[in-house]
Amino acid sequence: MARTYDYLFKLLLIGDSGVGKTCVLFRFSDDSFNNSFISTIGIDFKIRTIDLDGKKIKLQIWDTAGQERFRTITTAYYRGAMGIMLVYDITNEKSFENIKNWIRNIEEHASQDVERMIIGNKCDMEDRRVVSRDRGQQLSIEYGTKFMETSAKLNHNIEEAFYTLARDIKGKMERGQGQTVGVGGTTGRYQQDSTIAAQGNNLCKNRHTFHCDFIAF
Amino acid sequence: MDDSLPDHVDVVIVGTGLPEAILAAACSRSGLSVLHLDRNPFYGENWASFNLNTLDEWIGENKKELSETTVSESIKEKIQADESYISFGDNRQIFDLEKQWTEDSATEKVVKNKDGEETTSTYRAIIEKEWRRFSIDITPKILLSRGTMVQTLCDSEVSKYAEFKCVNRLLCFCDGDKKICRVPYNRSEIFETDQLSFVDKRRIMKFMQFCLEWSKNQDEMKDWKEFADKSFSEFLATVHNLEGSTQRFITDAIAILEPNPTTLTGLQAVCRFIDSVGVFGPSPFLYPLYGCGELPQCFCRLCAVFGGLYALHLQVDGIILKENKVVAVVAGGQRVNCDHIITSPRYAPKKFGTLSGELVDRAILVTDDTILKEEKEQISILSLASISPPQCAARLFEAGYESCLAPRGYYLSQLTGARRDDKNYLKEVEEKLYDSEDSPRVLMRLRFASAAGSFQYSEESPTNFAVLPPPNVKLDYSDVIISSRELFTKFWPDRDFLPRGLPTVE
Repeated sequence: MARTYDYLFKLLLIGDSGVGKTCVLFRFSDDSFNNSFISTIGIDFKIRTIDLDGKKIKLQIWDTAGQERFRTITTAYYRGAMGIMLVYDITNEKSFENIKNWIRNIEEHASQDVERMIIGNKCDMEDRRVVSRDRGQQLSIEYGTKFMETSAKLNHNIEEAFYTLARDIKGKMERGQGQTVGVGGTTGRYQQDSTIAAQGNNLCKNRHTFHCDFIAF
Repeated sequence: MDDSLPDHVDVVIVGTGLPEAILAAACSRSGLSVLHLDRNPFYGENWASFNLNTLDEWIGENKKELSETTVSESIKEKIQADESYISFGDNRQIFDLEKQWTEDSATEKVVKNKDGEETTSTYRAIIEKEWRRFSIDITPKILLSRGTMVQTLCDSEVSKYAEFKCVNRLLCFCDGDKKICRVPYNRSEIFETDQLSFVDKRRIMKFMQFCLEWSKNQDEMKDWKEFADKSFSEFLATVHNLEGSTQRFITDAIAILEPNPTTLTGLQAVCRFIDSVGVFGPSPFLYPLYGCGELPQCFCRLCAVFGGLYALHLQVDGIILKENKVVAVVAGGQRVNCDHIITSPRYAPKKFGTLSGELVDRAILVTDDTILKEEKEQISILSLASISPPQCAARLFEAGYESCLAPRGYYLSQLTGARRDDKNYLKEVEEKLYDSEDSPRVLMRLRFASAAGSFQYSEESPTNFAVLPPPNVKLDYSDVIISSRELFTKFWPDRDFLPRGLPTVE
């Protein structure tokens, strides 16, 4: 099968329940918004291919599957992630404070060179805002990440956020930094190792393409 | 967001080990509402993998004295007059824990720092600094390419949550147990190896040909039935003229799925092996990157994607019964009504039964080199059948940086064997393997035994309560899938076990 993209980036969405991670994801992948998402059921990951400086980049964006509700994200979720969007809700103080905890989680389980970005979502709800833009900005400076306020509802800054994250990963990769493998990350290393055909769905597909070489006996 | 548990679910599953995770995924996938609980702060129970720090926490937890459970007033309030209550068990699953940094780990080593300057540091300090890079399996196993685990992973599409590598080296002892050598197991390797004489090569090829035919129509094959219940070695020697190291290649390594084989089980094991050769690469065995602890997490993710609710690090109190049926659990101080409760052996109340009592011995070593050097880093299985009682099914699994199990330059050597006659044979084996001058340095050593066997239900066990088996000594995962599927089909005979996922649109 011909490859229809130049790069494949695995991105994660992380943050407290109810901050709108799934809405952000749907807005970006399907350009749809639904006010009534209660909690995440049946969303695994979404894919969208974007053009960036002449390269086709396939973004595979993973949702938490609701496992953040009791802080029970699996460590396996972080494996191989190249970019992580940390999402809080500007109308929810706790979700903002918890960003620090999520960052600690990332530091323990994700690749050391993973690109991070902090997103303050629901910026359409100005009247209920409790976290100022400044505080968001300040936090992102503290952790050395980019920062944006978004609204999945109004489709504000969603494209920009994903494009920015993708551009940063691409830049890092092209500078060759992405080749160093951090803990929990297969970034770079695995993309090159063609002997491992058993990744993801290939595990199934290859079942039919290989033949037992014992038949030759 | 609301942090309270739901009032009612169809199934409560307690313990996040692999069989429980598979069952949770199967239930959730088929539309049942699932609440999945664990007292541990991590997924996987004794099927988990740990880094050096979380390993120490796990050791600490397993060394703790078990406390008596008491039924608090707040729990009593949740029980109605016609109901009874029984606490979940906290049954010890890990025994004889022993961890040490060896003398060798205090040896100084020259390392280059970031600026290229040379400094000295002890092995222990180097390793401890890289604590996150370790992924140490409590239960290391491999996947057979055409086995039931791979089949289930593919069918359910859980395979997309993990990556796998081929176990590319199969080793066994040869030359009177003095040497470790690579077992050739496919046509080209047998042809190229210098371990075998030309005559033996032909004999092995002929035997493989026999196995291929045997797997298709064993009834019509001659010369094996009279040996069926006799030892496999006798059959190989008498009928196929395979003796010495050549015979060991087959009995110890190629038939490794069935330790201490009779002719019948040996032939079956060889056929399962051959059947999986060439599916994903030359080797029939796969191993998950980052260790076996990934697998329970992957199944839990599927469960969550289909709406399963997860709460770890939670106080898991007990079961509420009515007319000898399970009607609810109490967890985290809340009552959750349910139709079924399924637990791992740790949580089973003693009144409902106990494990049959077998033990699996384990030794985990961090070493500075591989047991058999080759140009490239390998993932190896070494059969220990010739240097330990064959009933122990003892083997060594070794992997390192390339499998994301250890920092670059270091290896994890994982020994597993069933305990027989109350004796831990692995200690002797380990000495034999690592005590010579040129063997790799052992830097850290962890030994323990884990509960195995099957759960024996008492007559008082409710019909809508079940316990899944603990890790057994088998090398591959087939039994795990079989027991999870059996239980699922028993409770929900009309539902499909982990069918293919919904088609996804890109």
